[in-house]
Amino acid sequence: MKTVRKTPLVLLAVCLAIIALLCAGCKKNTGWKAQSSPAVSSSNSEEQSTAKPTSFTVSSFLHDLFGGELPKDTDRVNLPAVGEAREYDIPVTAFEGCAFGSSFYYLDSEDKRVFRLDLETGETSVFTDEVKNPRLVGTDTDGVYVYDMSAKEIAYFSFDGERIASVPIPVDPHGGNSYSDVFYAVSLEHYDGLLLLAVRDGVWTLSDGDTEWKMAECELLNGEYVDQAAIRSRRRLVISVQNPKSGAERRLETDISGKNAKEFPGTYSSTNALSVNQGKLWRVTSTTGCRLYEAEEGGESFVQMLTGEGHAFPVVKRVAVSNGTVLVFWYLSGRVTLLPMNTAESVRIIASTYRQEVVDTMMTASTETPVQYSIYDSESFLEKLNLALLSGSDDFDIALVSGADSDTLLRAILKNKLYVDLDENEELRAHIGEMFPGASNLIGTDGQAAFLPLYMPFSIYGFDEAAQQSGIPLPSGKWSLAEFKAFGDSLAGTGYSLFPDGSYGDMNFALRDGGFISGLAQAVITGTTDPLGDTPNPETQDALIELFSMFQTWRDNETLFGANPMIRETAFLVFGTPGMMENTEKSNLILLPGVDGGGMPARIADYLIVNPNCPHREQALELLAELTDAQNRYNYRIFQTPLWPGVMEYGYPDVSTSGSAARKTPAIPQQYEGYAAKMDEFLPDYYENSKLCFVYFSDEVGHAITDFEDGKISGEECAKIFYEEYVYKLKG
Amino acid sequence: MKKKTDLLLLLPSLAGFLTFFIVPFVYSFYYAFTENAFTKKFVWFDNFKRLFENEYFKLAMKNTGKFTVLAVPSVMAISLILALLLVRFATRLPFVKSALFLPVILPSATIVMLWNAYISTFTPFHSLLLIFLWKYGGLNVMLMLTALSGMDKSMIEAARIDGANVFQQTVRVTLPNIAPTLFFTFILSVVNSLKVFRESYLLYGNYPDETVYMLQNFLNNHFAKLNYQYISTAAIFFAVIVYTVVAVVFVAEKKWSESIW
Repeated sequence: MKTVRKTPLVLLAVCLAIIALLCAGCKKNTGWKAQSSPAVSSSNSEEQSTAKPTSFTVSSFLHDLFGGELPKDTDRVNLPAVGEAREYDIPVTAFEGCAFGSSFYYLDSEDKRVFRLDLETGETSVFTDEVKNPRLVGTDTDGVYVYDMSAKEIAYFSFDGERIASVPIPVDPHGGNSYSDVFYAVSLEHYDGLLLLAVRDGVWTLSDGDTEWKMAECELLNGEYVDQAAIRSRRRLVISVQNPKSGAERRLETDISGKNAKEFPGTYSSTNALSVNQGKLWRVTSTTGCRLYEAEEGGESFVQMLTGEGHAFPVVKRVAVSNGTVLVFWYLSGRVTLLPMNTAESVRIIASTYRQEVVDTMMTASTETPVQYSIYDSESFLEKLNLALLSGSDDFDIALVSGADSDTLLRAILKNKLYVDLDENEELRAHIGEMFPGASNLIGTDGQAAFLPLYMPFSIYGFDEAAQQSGIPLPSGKWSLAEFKAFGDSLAGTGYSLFPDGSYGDMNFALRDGGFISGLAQAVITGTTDPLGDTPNPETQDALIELFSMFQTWRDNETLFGANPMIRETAFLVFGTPGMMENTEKSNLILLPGVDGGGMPARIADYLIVNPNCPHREQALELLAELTDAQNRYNYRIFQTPLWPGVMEYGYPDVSTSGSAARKTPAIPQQYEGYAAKMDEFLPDYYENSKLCFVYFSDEVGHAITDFEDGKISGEECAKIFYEEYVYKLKG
Repeated sequence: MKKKTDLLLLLPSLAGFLTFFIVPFVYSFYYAFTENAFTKKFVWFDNFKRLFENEYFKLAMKNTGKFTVLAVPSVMAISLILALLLVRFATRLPFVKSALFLPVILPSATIVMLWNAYISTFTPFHSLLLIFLWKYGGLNVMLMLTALSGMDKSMIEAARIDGANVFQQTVRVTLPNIAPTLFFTFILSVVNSLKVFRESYLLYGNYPDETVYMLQNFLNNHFAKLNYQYISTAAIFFAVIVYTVVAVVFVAEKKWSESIW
């Protein structure tokens, strides 16, 4: 019985032994060619003639231990931990470099050798073995790799500078994509048993022990070129591609064959340096100062600003993150900087990629409160935010919600009290009072300030000069829908119309009269339905039908549009192009008629809320107080809502200046100073009479108004479309 | 020992059922009696009251009820007639069964794409009804055919010799014999009709024509609006309806079986 049980085991052992023997006998030719340099003995050369040297290294040990792939958190750089910033001078002609341990290996365009900078002592030494024309350098736990453009090979050195082996590159350097040969190759890395060479038109990999390079077949669209690439693991690569015409950048993670690609969300800043270590992908941009980001699935988080002393041209060429240290190699600045990673407690803001620039500006504008932010793919941001709110997440302090993400989330936030009352901070309360005079109902509920509006897409209308000279009595201040009807009816047969015929150049109807019609419909909905209620008021549909039947009467008797308009849009979003502000100086600004005697429907597109479960509640409120102070509230890159007083103060701050010395480009051109003064006078009325409205301009509504104006649909049909778009979708 | 083994084998399934069904369902009760998922203030039956006053919930219930009342008898009748005809006349029953099962395994997106491409003249409600009949009719026929194939043919033969015509053979002999399967397909059809959503969503989106705004639309849309108390309350109400229907059908089946045998 025992013999029977042992037999399969014995057979298994014999099979395994045979397989092991076969494997040992079938060792592949690896393609790596040993060098006959003086440092390498002939016997060694003989032994290494068929393979990259197989001396024991940390990398190879870990590689074997973990069955062919290193664990994600393996530190491939092992930088020294630094308590404070260190800077090292190297020649300004140094153009490429890579770090490992306490050494930084760099290449110099004047002196074509490989240099080693000691990051502890600051001393520099040189590799004795020569390379003809080194263009890229990479390090791993087992040595230094150098791309030699003239020899068309990648040379492999020990850390001591002893040239051990080389392998020919898979393609001839060429000047494709209008780049010279010098800029042909962009990235060189060795990690986890894989050698990577990225060139402008593709990414090549060579596995240790293999003879043939393989090209990652990632698709380059419309003349795109590979900008950078990095090895994430033995099986996965990260590739950054750029479009030279549009400047657009795509970042992909693919397997080494270029397949199974997933795209990182787009960002508004292009990448200077990519780096992978300990399973994390780091990215540096220089759009508004050098910034380090950690890329995550579906988004990325700002980590810290990268600074260095005395850079005439502060652009990062290479970066490495390890052991709480960030190594920065500055492009053509002759500097290498070691920075401690920022671990200070910060207020964390989350937003969608769509609004990264706004958060970025907010962070720059904040001088008192440390800020960090994470951005997520616009398509998934809302879902992430919903789940975070649902689970009571404390992962963020402030959320920047964009109207493009949802028109119902704000309603849900208010209804479920998912906010921190901004009035808790006295300074912030005072600022909000100054910015939105008398508008407590506009930005909250139950007497609490629930959110801070950043962008309110509203339009301002005025009685035109013709209207003022017509002799027809014009209402002023608040007016009801009944007064508006009487006013419109009184125009029949006078030669005057309510709105201008035609449009402002290529602008659509929204900038002509549709905005007024749509705004009035929104006023009717806001006035007849409880905005936070769950069920529509039955009167709403009837009121909309009545409104559009009124418009239909005017459309049919040709007083809705005409050559002598009484009402004209004076500004769209206030900070419009000058072309949109014709006659604005001569117009008397008016409120929209409201169902209850007045009331402008105010739509909030972008806003900030403070997470009720946030870990830094007080700091978050302090940050908002700082952002709304007199210095920052007129920053058009943050607030795109006209505030009272001081419309003319709005501007685009120059990113190169900050604080009180910041230069600004006015958001409203100087010639509209008179109009701005009128706005200043009008805004308190506007805010006092505004009501929060949870509807947005939709394509369906736009088409409906156009069809209605063209006589293709009746007023009742148009009203029903409004009802479906604005009420059904809000409450259904 | 055998009981223990059975329980052990059932454990993975029970763990999943407990984690993904029972626990959330118990939580639903909690949410249904609180103001919302965030303030957690106890409000007794306020949510039920507000739910029954909600126009869109009423619309969803009306549409779902109307759909079930029309779809279930239709799919049962069509399936039964087809099954009886097939068992009598079809020569390649396994092939027919496979063909009938095809709509069930076809992805909803494919069905909707074909529908949009070739058949888009029906009203939204009728479109949904026809897709339902086509999709689930096949499944029902297959189940009924299996039951009919397994029936003892000598009983029909005996009835025929006794002078029963085809109608009498069917009503008096065949149907009582496949009664358990008929009840099962009925319950399955009711549950499927109450859950009809995928096709509606793919055809008309989150906010379909008001004639096909179903209970699932209501639940889905209010999830996006963070109205968990509504979803929970509606889910409990929905569950009560489904369990009541199932209980009634079980009782009816039992009584009918007792009266026959």
